[in-house]
Amino acid sequence: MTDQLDHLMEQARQGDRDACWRLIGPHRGLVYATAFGMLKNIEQAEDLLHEVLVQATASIGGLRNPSRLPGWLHTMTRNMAMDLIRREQRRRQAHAGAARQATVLPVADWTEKEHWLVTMEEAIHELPEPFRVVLALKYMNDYSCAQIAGILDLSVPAVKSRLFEARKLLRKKTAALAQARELDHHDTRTI
Amino acid sequence: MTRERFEHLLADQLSGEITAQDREELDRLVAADPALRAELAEYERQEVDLQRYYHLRAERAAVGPESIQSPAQPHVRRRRPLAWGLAAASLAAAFIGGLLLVQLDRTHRPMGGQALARVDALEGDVLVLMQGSVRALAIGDQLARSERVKVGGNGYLALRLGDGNIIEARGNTRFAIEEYHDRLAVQLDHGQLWAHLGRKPDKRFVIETDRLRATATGTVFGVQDGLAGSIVAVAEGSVSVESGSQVLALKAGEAWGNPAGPTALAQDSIDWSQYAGSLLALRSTATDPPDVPLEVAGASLATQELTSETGDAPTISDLADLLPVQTRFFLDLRDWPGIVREFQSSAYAMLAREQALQKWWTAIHGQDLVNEIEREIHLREILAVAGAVSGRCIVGVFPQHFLLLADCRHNESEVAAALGGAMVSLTDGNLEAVSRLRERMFVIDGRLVVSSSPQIAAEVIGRLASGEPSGFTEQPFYGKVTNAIQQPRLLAAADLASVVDQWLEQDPSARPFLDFSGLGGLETIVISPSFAGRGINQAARLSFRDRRYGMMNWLAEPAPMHGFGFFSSDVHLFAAAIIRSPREMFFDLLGKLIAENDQRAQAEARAFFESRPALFDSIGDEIVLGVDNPILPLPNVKLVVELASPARFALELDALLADWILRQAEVGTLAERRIETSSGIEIHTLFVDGWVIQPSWAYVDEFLVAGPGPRFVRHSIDVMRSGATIDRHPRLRNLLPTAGTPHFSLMVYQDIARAIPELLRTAMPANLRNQVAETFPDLTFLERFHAAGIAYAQAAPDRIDLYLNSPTGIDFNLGMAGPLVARWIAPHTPIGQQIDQLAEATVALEDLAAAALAFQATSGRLPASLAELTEAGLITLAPSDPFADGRPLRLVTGPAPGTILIYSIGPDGIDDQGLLTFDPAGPTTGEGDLTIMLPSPDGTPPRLLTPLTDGS
Repeated sequence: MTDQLDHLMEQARQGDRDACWRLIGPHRGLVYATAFGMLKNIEQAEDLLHEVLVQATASIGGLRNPSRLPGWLHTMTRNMAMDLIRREQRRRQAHAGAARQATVLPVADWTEKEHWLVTMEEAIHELPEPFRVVLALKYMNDYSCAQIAGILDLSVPAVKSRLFEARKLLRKKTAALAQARELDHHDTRTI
Repeated sequence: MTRERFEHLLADQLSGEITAQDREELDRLVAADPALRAELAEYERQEVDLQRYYHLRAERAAVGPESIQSPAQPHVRRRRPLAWGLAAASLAAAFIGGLLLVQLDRTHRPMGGQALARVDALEGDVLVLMQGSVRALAIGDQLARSERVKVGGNGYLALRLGDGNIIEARGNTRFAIEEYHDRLAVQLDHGQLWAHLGRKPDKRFVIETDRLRATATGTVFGVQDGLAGSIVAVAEGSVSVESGSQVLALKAGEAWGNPAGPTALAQDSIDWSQYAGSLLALRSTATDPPDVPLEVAGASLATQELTSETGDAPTISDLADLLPVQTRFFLDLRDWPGIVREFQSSAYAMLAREQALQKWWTAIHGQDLVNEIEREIHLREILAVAGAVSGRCIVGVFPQHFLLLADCRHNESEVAAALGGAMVSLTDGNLEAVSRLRERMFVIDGRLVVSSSPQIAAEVIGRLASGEPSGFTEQPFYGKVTNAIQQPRLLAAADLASVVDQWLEQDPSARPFLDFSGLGGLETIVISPSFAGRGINQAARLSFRDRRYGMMNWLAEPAPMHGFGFFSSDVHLFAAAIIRSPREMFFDLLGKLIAENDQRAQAEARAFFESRPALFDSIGDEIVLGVDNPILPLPNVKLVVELASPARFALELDALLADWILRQAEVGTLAERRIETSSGIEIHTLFVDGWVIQPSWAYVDEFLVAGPGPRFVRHSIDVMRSGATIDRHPRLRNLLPTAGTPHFSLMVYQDIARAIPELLRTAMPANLRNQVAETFPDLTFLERFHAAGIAYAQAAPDRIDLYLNSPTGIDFNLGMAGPLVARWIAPHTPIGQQIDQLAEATVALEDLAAAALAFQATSGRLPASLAELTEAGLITLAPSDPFADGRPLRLVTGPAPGTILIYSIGPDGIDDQGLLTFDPAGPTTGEGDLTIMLPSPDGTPPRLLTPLTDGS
């Protein structure tokens, strides 16, 4: 298998677009999950996915060991996402006067599905970044713990532990958010 | 210890990687401790939530599990010859092993009471998700309760329930079946299902979505759920639908949606079913009118009742028969209340509820504006009557008059009362005026009649009495309209041929324009939101009297489009067109660009280009123009042109450029063509002394790619090579009516609103930003409303069909309406007024300064007063100061000998004698006067003084 990967890599280095796509294309899910886990925004994650694919295609020649491709892509995505986050922070500081307001619809207009989706979204977004990334890799791609361990350069038990800690924290946060919403809804009704 | 062990086992269980032994241990632990049991159940529910949540998020980017290869398995494997034998042996072993595993697996799956259904038929990827594990379904497999089934985009599934009934699931559907003591419930997350309950079900059968619940006994019905809402359609028997507080009964042939959806069984909801033939047969027999609802459940039910065509009730053609034959514009609101409801649940209504927007609206006293408009156009009265109408409504407009007809058979008295109230309000209770209005606004035989002409209204009464139609429906115009679209919900049409003829009659000089544009050949335009297939929310058909000509003939018939493969996924705008004859189009444009009266220049230009036939002959038919990022100081504009013969084109262009560069050198302008190589492709750049941009281009495959600099062309090539292009991105793919390469004559893609907040932040002057932030809404909320959209055209020899597809429907419309609204609203805002006044004062001061300099040129000195300028005839009247209640601008002696100051007292309204100067870069309400000193201190042309920065 290594020979085949090497062969594809050689073709990619010579500018073979198909070879590049065969190498990188299957890992779109990995890139998207990492990007979404870090950026917490679908649009930005979609944009980053494509930026990473462009960047990866341009610089794949620098990858020495093709079997490290998933980890390499994960690191690249992570670095580019961090750049984006930093840029965003600078921009927000520069335009503090026009800070973004909470993007929440009037609660009374939500459907049950929207309630559920917003609660999940808020709770997941409040999780620490490593938890968000591991959850995204697991549930967006159905990666096994061993595959995630390979991508994140962790041991399998560490991945399992991180996943479980993420679930525990998520459980607490969803419960707290649901309670807050219930109170909010109650307040709305009594006003 | 137990707790730690429980968590360890739970982690394994939730990861889907628990051993059988550990699973037994976990079962024992939870059996012994109810608290642990509850916790496990809670985590399992969370597991389903997580799968559902990330599934939704992955769907957006179309990188879900089914589209992803495992990272451990490369997409392509090329085996060496020696490995083939081993591979074949492994395959055989895997096949046999697989068969054994399948058999073993089946013996361990839930059977008997737990199995609710069996797979009868299956295509594509169909997965079952349960507690973190995933398995693929095969024909004959059984499905247990709570197992969530996911039918892939290319898939199809037919399940046979325990009682012999069948459920079909379309591709991209996700659902689970639950069994309760009183019912069998299918929980539909999204997608489309048909339930064929030919046999009496063992239990009550229910399909539930987040928005509704459909219950049936002995029937055939389908439920569809998506982000836009849920729809129930019935092919046979009856179904009870509950949605919120509403309960209604649907019969065969009917459909109902929440939010408002179709009211009849739609063809595209049937096509995918393997029982489509029998469903169609059932649909054709379902001609009975729908039942009266079980309970009164809002206006939606009244609509359904009214849209039935029974007995002697006025149908759409009955109403149209009352329109005069000379009708030129025709509006048909077949489902008026449905359209209102749809609007109320649309992105527009959501936008109106935005707090930021409401705050801004209050700040600019928007309600006062609305009140004024209401008074001006009697909006309140119109809305009162419109709100009462709950049936079809058609409007005909003809020379100088209009006629509105509405079906109000079911609430005639209510509409009559609303109309009476409106008329009293319109006339301030003047009974004589009311009686005059009654001549052209009345309710008769269940029809509301409103016309601008009493004679037309009287004709309607006569036709209703005699039963004689007007003959409008026999007109070719009406025939064109009804041929273009059947049974529309909303339709607008215009008889353009008559309009064009009338225009030419009144203004024969318009002929050249009509010939050039091809508009002279127009016959009709029909616009309808339900004109055509999947995902289309607005469409129009332009029909021509004969074959298209002029500009209208530039577009060729639809062909595959590939050119936008050079644009990255974050492109904001592009237009791709298939051109019938680039040469003709170019010469048409040339004729317009060069002054029409300059026949010689036109002939020379034509001769010049015609002497290089290869240039045009080698151009293909596809041209794409796009903007990747409008926020950059230099927008990334790209032009992609398909070339029939790239080599010939390159040769001809090289010769043309060499000639041009030589001629530039002759006139002393330095011009040079440079070539660089990127990824083996030559990028040509033209450097010309004095040009801000350097046109660059490259030949890639059969395309010419051009941009405003080499880096833009390089980027296009990188994007194309990486495959991360817009044509592969779901943003565009999801908008296309069919999969694969689009075949259009013209396509315009836009995702502009994504850039609006950023554009406002960067394009707005810094000094205004803080002030604007206080008054204007924080437009970042637009980020939640934006959505990419496409408009496309499909041309035929005698018509052009136009479609618009945007998920929220807001982008294009917002884009079109935005500038108009801004022009209308801005002058009414405090800031808008201040900016206007500042601009007015500055222009007046500059005019005055010019007059003073003219005075100096003739008399050798600057004027000492405004009166001197008036006496010299340089100004007719002293210009007024917009900040001084009509008093004139000031002219006084300047601080230095021989200088004068002309000034406005500025927005603070305080006369500082021109000595304290207003800061144009500061707030619009800042202190100081707007001052011009003459002569200018630095000898430059006169301009506003700015405050000194050292405080002196």
